[in-house]
Amino acid sequence: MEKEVEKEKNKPEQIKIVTKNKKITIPILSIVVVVLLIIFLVPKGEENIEIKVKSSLDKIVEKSDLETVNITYNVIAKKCKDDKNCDKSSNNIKDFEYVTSCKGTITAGIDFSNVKINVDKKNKKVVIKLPDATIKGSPNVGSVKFLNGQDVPADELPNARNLCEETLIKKSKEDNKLIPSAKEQATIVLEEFYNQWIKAYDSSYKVEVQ
Amino acid sequence: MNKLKLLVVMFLSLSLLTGCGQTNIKDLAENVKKIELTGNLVTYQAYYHNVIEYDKKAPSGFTHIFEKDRKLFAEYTGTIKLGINLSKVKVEVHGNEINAFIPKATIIGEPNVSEDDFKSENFIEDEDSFINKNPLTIEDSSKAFDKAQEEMKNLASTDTELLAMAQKRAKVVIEENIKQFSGLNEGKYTINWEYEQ
Repeated sequence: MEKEVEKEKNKPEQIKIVTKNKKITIPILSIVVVVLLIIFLVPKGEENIEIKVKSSLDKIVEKSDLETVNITYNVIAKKCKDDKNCDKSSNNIKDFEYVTSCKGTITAGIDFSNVKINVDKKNKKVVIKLPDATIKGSPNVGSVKFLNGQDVPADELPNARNLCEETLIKKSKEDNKLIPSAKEQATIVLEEFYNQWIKAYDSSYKVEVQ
Repeated sequence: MNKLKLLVVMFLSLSLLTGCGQTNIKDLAENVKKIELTGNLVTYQAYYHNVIEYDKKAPSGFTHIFEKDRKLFAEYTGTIKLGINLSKVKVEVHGNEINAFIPKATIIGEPNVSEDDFKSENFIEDEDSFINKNPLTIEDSSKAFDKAQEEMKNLASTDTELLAMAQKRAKVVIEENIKQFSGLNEGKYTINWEYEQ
């Protein structure tokens, strides 16, 4: 009997506690629900993918040394006997004062700050468009070998090196395969990387690196 | 009872928030096994502009008397692919530690030397004998082309800097594979890299 009386006494207090808890938990639950709605219902837009591609691109460029590429560029340079009357297209070595084989290196670079990223939602495709590579600085001239099979005076070597440098610059500028190749070496690894990377967003998407 | 229900709801909501679909660390080993490690992974395409020297010996015999050895020089261009054999990659999981072994990079496929560079008009030759000729023929162009292919292979396979770069790039791609397949945030596991020298 005594217990029942005590129970009755405690009842309003219990109700009080539950009401107090409700007051605290309802706002918390509301926040949780809102956060969940944001996470699950707000779609990951094109802009989001674009930003993510850009930030991951910065990382992979740094990790893979994609910005610059050194290209072995060896050329044949011909020294005319008479600069005013010289047919450089002649394939007879005797028509020249000397002919050298020049070992050289050219550095090409890609400016990744000019990368364009387009998200084609309709065709489920992310297109990463790289800018063209450009030749950086002057070519590096290594060894010079005279091909005539005859002795060339030692004091001619500096002139031969200059001739090599001029020829390297001229030929690399005229070489229509050089720039696309410098870009291709970066494209290959970016394609492999992004084909994996995109799976985190939507495996139905494809990434094309141009 | 109501209090209990509310606590359960809160707990589940928070679990969803913190988990966000992440898999458990114990699934890491199974997930990583799903990475397809077959075929070759090309990570570098090198471009070469090179000079070839080709020697043609004067044949022996009476009809070839006074013929001289010939030399031709030509510039040629070509590309060669480098990468790793994925079947040699090893990825082992021990708890939250992943040990990854990256094999050394090698040449993938054959070099692609431009045949157009081996036309006679692009050659520079030494002078032939005045008396008995030993001309450079189409067959010599073909042999010079074969020599260029071999030379490009040798150049690429001995270029340690280039091979290291191709191996390093392979690591970046494998790392991304692990990241995608693990189902875990990067901070929840450690990768120990080993590179074949």
